[in-house]
Amino acid sequence: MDEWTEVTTARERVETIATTLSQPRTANWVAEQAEVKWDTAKKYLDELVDGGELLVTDSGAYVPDPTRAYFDQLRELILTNDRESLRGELEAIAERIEGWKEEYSVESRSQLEQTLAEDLGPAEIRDRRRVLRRWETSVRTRDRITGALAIYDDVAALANDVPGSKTIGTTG
Amino acid sequence: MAIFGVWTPVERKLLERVHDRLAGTGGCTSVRYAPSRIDANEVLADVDPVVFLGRDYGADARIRVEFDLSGDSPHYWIQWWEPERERGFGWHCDETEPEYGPVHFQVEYPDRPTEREKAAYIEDEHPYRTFERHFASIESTIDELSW
Repeated sequence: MDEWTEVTTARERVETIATTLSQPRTANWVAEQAEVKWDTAKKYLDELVDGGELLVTDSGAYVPDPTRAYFDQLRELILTNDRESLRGELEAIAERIEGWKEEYSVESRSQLEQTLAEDLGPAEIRDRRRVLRRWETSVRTRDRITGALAIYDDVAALANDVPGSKTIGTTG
Repeated sequence: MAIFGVWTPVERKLLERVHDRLAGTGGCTSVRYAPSRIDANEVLADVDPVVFLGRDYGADARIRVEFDLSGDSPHYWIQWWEPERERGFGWHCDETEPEYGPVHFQVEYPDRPTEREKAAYIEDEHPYRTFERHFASIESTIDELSW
């Protein structure tokens, strides 16, 4: 199997690290993580800032622009799914959540979280923590889909106004 | 991660990078998100070991990658599993086995109890780099294991 540095360019590695940061980081730190020289990291980081993907903090650290990330994801949801797929996903999420409620005899995610204080074995705790993570992700996904559906028509109309543009509603 | 009270999709973007890496790796097929593409929690790939390892191996395998970035430091699960042989191994960073430190290496057997041992932990490492480090070591790990 090829190493990361063999199958990617320096630019790709900087972009991978920088666009998935959970907190502001220096160019030096990004360079180390992306296995590139400092000046190479700095150049590509500044390009990502110019392109609106990253912000620079007062101390000169880089962090993904949260508003850009948020809208990019809404845009992607709209441009790569038709309304029916999004509604179908909402139904699937509702079923998943209902299934967890039944399986663990709880009414809510927080109630399942409270059961971790009970006398459970390590395997059961691991299992419940995993479900808690999934439950949280599903709730967030549900909120984003709801947001995407609220602006779906406007965004779809804008995209469809461009001659020869990508067709809305593919589920790739 | 929450900034200004709004959650931004770092975990999702991280999974997309992992998905693309697996999809571009020889021997990794049916690369997919679970439970679904939109509501992704993890990335799964079926593995043809003949292509992935470059030698005859005798059983198919599956790779599973999951992150949890909600805490102070990243949690992750990077797993190699052989369904037919009911065995596998993986690196788990999830605070469920504190006696082994922040990360433990876990081997599961079809007929023996699960074995765990302390695994290397690199402080302040980007989770994608963590994934690449473990992903690159799968082959040597298989060679070292006496199943």
